[in-house]
Amino acid sequence: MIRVFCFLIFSLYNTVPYAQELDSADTTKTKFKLNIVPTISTGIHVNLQDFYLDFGAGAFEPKSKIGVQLSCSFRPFYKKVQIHQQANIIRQWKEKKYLVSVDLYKRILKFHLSQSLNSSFLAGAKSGYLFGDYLGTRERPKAGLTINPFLGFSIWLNGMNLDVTYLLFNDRLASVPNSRLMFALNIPIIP
Amino acid sequence: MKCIVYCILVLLSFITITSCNSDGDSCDPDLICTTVSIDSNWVNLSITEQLSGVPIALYNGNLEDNLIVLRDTLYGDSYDYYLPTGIRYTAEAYYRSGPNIIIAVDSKKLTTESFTNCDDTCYESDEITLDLVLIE
Repeated sequence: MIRVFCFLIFSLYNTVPYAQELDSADTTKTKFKLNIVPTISTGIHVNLQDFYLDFGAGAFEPKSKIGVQLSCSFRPFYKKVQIHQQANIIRQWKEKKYLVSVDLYKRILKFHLSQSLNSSFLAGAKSGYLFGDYLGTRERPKAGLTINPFLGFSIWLNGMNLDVTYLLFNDRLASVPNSRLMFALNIPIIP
Repeated sequence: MKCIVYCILVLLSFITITSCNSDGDSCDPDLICTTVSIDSNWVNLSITEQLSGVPIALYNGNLEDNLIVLRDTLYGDSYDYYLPTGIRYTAEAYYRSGPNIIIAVDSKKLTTESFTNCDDTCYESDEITLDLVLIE
């Protein structure tokens, strides 16, 4: 799965210089002007065993099609997890987890799904600090920095982007697969 | 832009509806009101049944506080204890699984809440279930 993901990222990013070359033909003569659109987003990332809610706010630069946002993701319930504590002792805790992340993404290769539906591919990464707590103890899950790449597509729905992406999310649980689907509504705030 | 306005309106409506509380002046004469403060209620332990029995330990507060309320060995898949309210209870169940011991933990607070109805102070308390069932 990881190899397929890396191949897709590699394939998509190989096309990026070409896309920028086309753009730059028009823009090299004009003076560079940074145009930043504020965005808010909400979504979930989910697999068959787990899900997180996700909220964020940030900015998007339409010319380079690069966006960045500060996000907060969390599991809204306590999930049973089993952790090896010592050689023959396994603890079954009820765990809640949170991720505070900076999400960096780029929309690439605009295409049309239909006459009215504009779409593009989307690639990026959620990089941040993952932490959590267990019920009934002061012990906590191992916290730390994680980098979680995502890749998928985005559909422009008359005022907002619906992003559907595959997310490789390492939540440090052996019992939960790292593969997730992420659905997000990304709303540009245009006055 | 319209979409954002609609989203904000829906969000505000949701917050308003979910944050509504009955005011203190409400009066429902048909409401069953317990005017005596509830000082104890049932704590249910739910476990995975094992033929040899499952040892359990029940604590006040967190495990680290080490305030043991009781130790027992359970032979069914659930058992109830009648215990004082206003306390957080944490339970541990010890399962044998081949060479391993799996210790399942759950914790909840047994609470009592009060509200006013027709100038009476009514008390209510929900029993709690500590889920020590193993992941399948």
